[in-house]
Amino acid sequence: MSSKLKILAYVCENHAVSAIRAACSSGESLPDSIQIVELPCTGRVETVHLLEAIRGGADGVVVIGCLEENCYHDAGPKLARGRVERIKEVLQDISIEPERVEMINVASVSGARIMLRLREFEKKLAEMPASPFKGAIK
Amino acid sequence: MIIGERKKVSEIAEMLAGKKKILVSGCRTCVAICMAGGEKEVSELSSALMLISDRDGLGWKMEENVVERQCEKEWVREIDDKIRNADAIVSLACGLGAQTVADMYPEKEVYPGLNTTFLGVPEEQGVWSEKCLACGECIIHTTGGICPVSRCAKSMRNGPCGGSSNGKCEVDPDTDCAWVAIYDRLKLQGRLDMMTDVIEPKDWSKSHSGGRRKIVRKDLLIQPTDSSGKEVVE
Amino acid sequence: MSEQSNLEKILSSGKFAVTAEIGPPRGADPTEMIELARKIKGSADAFNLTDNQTAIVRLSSIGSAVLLMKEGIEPVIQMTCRDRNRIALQSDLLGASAIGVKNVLCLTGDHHTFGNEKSAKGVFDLDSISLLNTFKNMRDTKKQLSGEELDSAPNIYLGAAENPFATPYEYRAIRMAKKVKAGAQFIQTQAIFDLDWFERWMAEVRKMDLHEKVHILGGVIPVKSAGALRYMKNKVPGMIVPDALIGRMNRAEDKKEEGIQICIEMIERLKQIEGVHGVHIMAVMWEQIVPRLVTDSKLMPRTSV
Repeated sequence: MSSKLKILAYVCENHAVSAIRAACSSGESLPDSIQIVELPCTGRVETVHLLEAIRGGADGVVVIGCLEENCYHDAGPKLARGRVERIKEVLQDISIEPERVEMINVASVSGARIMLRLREFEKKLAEMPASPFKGAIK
Repeated sequence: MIIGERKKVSEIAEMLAGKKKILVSGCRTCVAICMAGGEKEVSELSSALMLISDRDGLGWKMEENVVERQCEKEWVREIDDKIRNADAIVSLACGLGAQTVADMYPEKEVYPGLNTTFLGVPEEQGVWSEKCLACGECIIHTTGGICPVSRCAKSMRNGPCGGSSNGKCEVDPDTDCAWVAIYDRLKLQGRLDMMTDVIEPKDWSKSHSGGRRKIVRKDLLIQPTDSSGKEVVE
Repeated sequence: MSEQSNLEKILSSGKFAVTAEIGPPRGADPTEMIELARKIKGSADAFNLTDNQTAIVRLSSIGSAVLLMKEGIEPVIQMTCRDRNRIALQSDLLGASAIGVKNVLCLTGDHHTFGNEKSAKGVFDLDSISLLNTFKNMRDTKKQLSGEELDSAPNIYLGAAENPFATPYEYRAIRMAKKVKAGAQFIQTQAIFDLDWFERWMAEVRKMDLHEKVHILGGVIPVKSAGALRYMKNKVPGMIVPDALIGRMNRAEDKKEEGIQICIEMIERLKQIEGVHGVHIMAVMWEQIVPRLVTDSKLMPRTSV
């Protein structure tokens, strides 16, 4: 069931990617549903990227950034969180589950935590009715 | 600058019922700076509208565009083909930009994508506040450089009302009382005597209360016009 | 010169005045208001009729005045700048004067966002001070605001409100001086709960000799519960309510009676303050208590001058 899910993850190439790598090297593996897009900083994620991911058929979109106090570029994850919140409001307004978009902040040492959070996200999406955009081309 | 706030996407979508070719047009001036109608907001709105269209099978075709200043005909003319090609234009400019398009293309339906909210300034990232009402007769030299017409909920001219509480406005405890600010400023400048005179009521005829306003600068006119500076609608 | 109002006569004769507030009903039936008026008539020299107080739509102040004058009550009509522009305000003053209203309290008005028509367009063409000045000039120079001559001048005794408990505190006496300059002949203050605070303000007022230029009536509100005091402390802008008073109310067994006693004590103390020329009782939703308050404060009988 969950293998059919598609989750797009915008991941910061600094602490966030390190956390995922650390988890993988200690024997964990990313859920198959997750496709990663690496970015220099989550501050680069614009609201349109979140909307287009949903429109393109992703069941969920997650932005994985560094802890807010650890950002290499000062305010990246703060901006990303703000945009995620804004898009949750837009989705709510147009009757699409706002829970399809999430923000997670991680430290590079928190590999286990990020894997847990992603599995939780995957489980939540699996319990939702199918996305009306399922099977879209992108 | 002019501060605006995007309408709810659902509200815009409702206006567009039955349309097919939709142009979402933003503006790179005030509303871009206040992050309501610039490039990013145009793509965000288009994308959100397309989510609705895809889900509900509305078959909308979305075109995006941002003009330099939508309130000036010269800039709007640059997107003439896009406007002609659309059957609905959602303007993410202020009411001035939206009306410029509407007046230039009277046969086209123009929909406001944002509410023009006030004349204000950015206080900090993400915060804007009203500071002018365009009343037509500036008096801030008498009030320590602080405008009571726009910054006081009652446009008081003779000092604070009785609802000024802990320096805040009775209407909203998060808003500073303009007259407390004026008092503090004039005190700092040693000019508190300015607050002892009875101030005459404001001449509102210079504001919108006097009817729609227009400025004609004869020195700037290139073609002779009648004395009213008659408008030419293209 | 036309006949002075009872309130003006009492104040100018140096007697301690009593005014009280009546809130008109939220409908077209005045029966209850008239019945109330019959009960409390004689307990104050004049009764304020509020003008859509807190921006709640009510029977108009001038309409109420017509009804209550028939009952032998002298009204003080309240007029706010919130709902009427200078055309309507001047017109209503002429109308009020023509039907025999002699006292007007000039207010800016609570903002309409407090009321039950929140989508209203606020007018605020004038403010309380320019309203006072406009009415004063209409009366004294027979000229309306634009400078045009009136056929005849209104006969009116002009009042204003002042709130010693609003910010900036050190400006409040100066602001009252402005009101006096603009034409205020009597002042009704915001409700006093912190008497020490009020006395400090009165000291400033006396220093400016304002108490000799205007008649000051201290505002009081009888309350029925500690909750009401807390509400005013926390929710009503421009009010100062000492915690000690809330504590006293909390400890009281009979809250209503305690509220009455607190109010009577306040009136008794106000009578002792130099420059306080009267008391203004705002018994909101509890107007029937006014005769008791006035009697127990030894201010009865009220006699017309």
